[in-house]
Amino acid sequence: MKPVPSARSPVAARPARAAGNATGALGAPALDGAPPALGTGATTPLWLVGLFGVMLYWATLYLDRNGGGFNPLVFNQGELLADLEARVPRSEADALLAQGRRVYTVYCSACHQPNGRGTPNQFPPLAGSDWVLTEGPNRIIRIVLNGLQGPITVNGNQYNNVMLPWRDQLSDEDIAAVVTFIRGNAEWGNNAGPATPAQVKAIREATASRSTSWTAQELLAIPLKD
Amino acid sequence: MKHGPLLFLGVFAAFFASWVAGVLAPHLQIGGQSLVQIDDLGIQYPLDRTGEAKQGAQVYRAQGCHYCHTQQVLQEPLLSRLTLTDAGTNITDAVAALRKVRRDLDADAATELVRHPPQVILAHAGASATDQATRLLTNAGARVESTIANLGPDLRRGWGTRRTVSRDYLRDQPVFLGQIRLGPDLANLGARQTNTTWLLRKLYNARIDLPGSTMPRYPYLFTERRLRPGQAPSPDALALPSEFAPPAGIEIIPTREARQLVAYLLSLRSDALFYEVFPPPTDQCRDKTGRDHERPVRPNLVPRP
Amino acid sequence: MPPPVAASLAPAAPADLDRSCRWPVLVLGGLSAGWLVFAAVLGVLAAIKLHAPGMLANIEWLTYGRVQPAAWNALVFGFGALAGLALALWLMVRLSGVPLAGTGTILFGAAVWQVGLKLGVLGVLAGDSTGIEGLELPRYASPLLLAGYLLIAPWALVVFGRRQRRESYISQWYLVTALLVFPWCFASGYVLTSFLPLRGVLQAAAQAWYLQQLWVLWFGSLTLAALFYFLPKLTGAAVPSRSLALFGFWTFVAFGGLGGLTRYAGGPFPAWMLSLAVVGNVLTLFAIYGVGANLLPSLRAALSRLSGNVVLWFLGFSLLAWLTAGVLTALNSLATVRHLTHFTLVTPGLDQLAFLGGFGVAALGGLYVVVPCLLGRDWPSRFLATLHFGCAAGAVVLLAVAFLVGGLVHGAALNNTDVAFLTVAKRYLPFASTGTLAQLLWLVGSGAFAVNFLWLLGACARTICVPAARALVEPLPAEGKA
Repeated sequence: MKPVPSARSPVAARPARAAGNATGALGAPALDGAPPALGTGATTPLWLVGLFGVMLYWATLYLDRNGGGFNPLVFNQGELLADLEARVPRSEADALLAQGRRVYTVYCSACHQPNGRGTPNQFPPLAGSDWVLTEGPNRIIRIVLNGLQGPITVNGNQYNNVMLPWRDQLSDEDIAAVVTFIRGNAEWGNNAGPATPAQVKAIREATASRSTSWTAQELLAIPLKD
Repeated sequence: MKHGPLLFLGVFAAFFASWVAGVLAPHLQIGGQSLVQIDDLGIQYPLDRTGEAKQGAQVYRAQGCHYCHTQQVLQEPLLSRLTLTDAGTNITDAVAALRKVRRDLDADAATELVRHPPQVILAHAGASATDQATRLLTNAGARVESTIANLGPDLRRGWGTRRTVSRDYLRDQPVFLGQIRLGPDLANLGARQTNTTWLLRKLYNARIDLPGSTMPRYPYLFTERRLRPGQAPSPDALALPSEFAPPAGIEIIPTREARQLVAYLLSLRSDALFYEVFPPPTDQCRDKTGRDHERPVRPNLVPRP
Repeated sequence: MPPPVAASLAPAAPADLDRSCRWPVLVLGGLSAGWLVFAAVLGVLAAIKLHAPGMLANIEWLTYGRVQPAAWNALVFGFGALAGLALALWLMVRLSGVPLAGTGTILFGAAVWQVGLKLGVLGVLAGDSTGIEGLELPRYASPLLLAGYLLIAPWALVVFGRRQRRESYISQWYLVTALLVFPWCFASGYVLTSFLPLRGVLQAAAQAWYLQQLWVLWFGSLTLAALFYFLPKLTGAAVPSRSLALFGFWTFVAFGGLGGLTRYAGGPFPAWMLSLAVVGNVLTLFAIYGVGANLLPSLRAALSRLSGNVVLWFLGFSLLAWLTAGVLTALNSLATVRHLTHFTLVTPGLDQLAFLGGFGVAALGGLYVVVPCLLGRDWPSRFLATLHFGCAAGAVVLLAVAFLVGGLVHGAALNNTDVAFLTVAKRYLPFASTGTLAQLLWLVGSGAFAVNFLWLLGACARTICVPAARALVEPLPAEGKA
């Protein structure tokens, strides 16, 4: 550290600095008042202008390919409205799955989780579950209708919790949809067959007098398939 | 440049153009978006929050939760699933092609796959890998079918069932999209977590249930109350494991702010389905239910907005 | 503004120019130095809290979600904006050859800004933040900042309008851009998010646009104005091509402001908005090339003289940091890269590289030149300036490494769903510690700058005050002599 001796005059009477080679404490030369020199001879290189044109063209191509046609409903880059249109369910079968997904996210996903894997030791999984992937949907429809209580073994793990009945909240079509969605959900690795509203209706009527939840033992007595 | 006004106008014009493109045009385009009628429930999505949850959003804002947590679910566009539908006549060629696509398969496994179509060959593959595999297999006389599955790490982590879009945020003020994920995404927290006590414990000290968590403690959202001798503990008191519990005779009560914040967190979910967010049907479902384009379209299934 | 008449084209002497803008520039520069140190302290606190969440957790005012935005606002609007305005005024006066008018208004404006920012930072710490990143200042503070700005900046434009050199220089183009950009983007950002908020995600779009203008067009322009003046002046090498400079300037202005939305890539915005932003960021590369091709030669020419000139170290480092940040930002907007980097600290890291490394270091270098000119007295300590450079450059490099490498590690873990989220968060921890080290270095450097500045001011005050005080205390002998 070497402070510069204050040989200079006070601030108010500052002398004009020499514009020459004087350098300050930091080694910077004193600046004169002129703006920096600016070469005017060289032009912008032609290749740069050419490349600029090419990139402008690329920009239009990129926007065309990834801009979704400037449609406010297209959110994924690289898609167009037609791709969206193709995903919206159109046939009855697709509609059942879409409806099932909707019912599932509203009523089931809180416990069984959006990925269908449940919560360890609390809520059993549906993905890959031996109770879901049965030959027919007889038992699982009964569980959805009346709920389930008490110990149950799923894929070898013990669970002991309460599942609420949905008999009064969900229609036959809702239950058929959600059971179809759960059993056939390829994202979870499930591939069991669908359930129909007629199946649900039949079971609903057959168990109309039942007011208590099922237990696992009672269910095991019910045939897998009609 | 000799002309000051030209410089001024040029800068102004460029600047105005970027404002139009970045702010004005989006506003004109999606500023008037309507809520979605969820027909089978008779309610409008996004759901209006309760008063407590709305106040909780202000607690979220004041504590700056959005500096570590995002509220947006992303999907990876264009991930393909490739299914072998028909092996063709030349099994040997098909097996050879399949083994080029899937180098992890030995000859027996490949033959087994080829003999029993349909078989999923690639799941979650990128576009170029799918293209290459399709070329190899079709050259060998086999038939394949590829479907696009818009999945991605966010969905696989269970942070949502679909991506989020602008309509999900119509009721949020301010919008807490967040830019950094030092904590998990919260766009669907209310869908995967329903336990108020668990969330309160998390706020009190995240390391109770998750040792090693990097989330800060929020002890000032709780009050310590001294119990008089013989007084029964309050039902609101937080149940804590012994190593985190306060000394005997003192109980930890969540403040109103903590309860509001938890109410807000529980209200976070963006999983309703409407026109622009339908995930693609997966091919398995398609096999089982027999997707049929010839059937009449149910007209009011999903109205196009 | 009256058109300059040919007969009056006589730039004033540098000493007169300096005298005209001495107080405004010194006050703005001094306030910015104070905020620099304050922001660095808050920055260290915030950085520590990332890897030690238990530290000071009992104090509501110091929770991470409040310290972080408070540090950001103090740094950007305290140090950044004030230092930028100080340099803009001085550069504009120097280059236009016209004395500064309106010094009283400017000083009043600085006071209004100071009050507004203090209220704002306190408000953020108290929990009144608006909740929009980058636009956190509460409603009672942000209008004060705009008012303060409108009292200060127009005087620079007045000077430009009265300029005594018909042909304007590159720095003046960038200064005019910066001076015009700020009030618009600031007002648009705050009005559309907290006063008359847009609906839903449009707030975030307005915010992204604002951030892009702030980083690229406001701080970027100020950086380039400083670099285009100081680098050629200090090295004595001419800027090679005027036409390339024009090309770089107009591509910068045209495309620099478009790329905001890449920070929300993949988010809930229609695809075209993101695509436009990507295009904007990629085309900005032309502007970066224009700057690099014009300025790197003068830096190369000065390599031999670099060792003695501390100020040149600042400016050279700033140029390299700014160019690197620009190229990496364009790269970061490409889909394949973004897929790895979104939701990590890569994007804020690039912002910091451009802001601290580019603008901050250039502005500090500029102040090292300007302040002695204004005071007529050189810096008291070369050692402190050298220490400042070492710390600042080390901090920027460390911060960039921590944010970029850490961000990539974090992003890779986020995308790998076999890794549990807690592990993802923990992977970032070592880099967070590196970030703390960087912030500490930055604090030490800022402290060295502040000490040097105070020392200089004290020495000046002594040369003025001591004789004056002596004259007051000992009037009789003086009379007696007379």
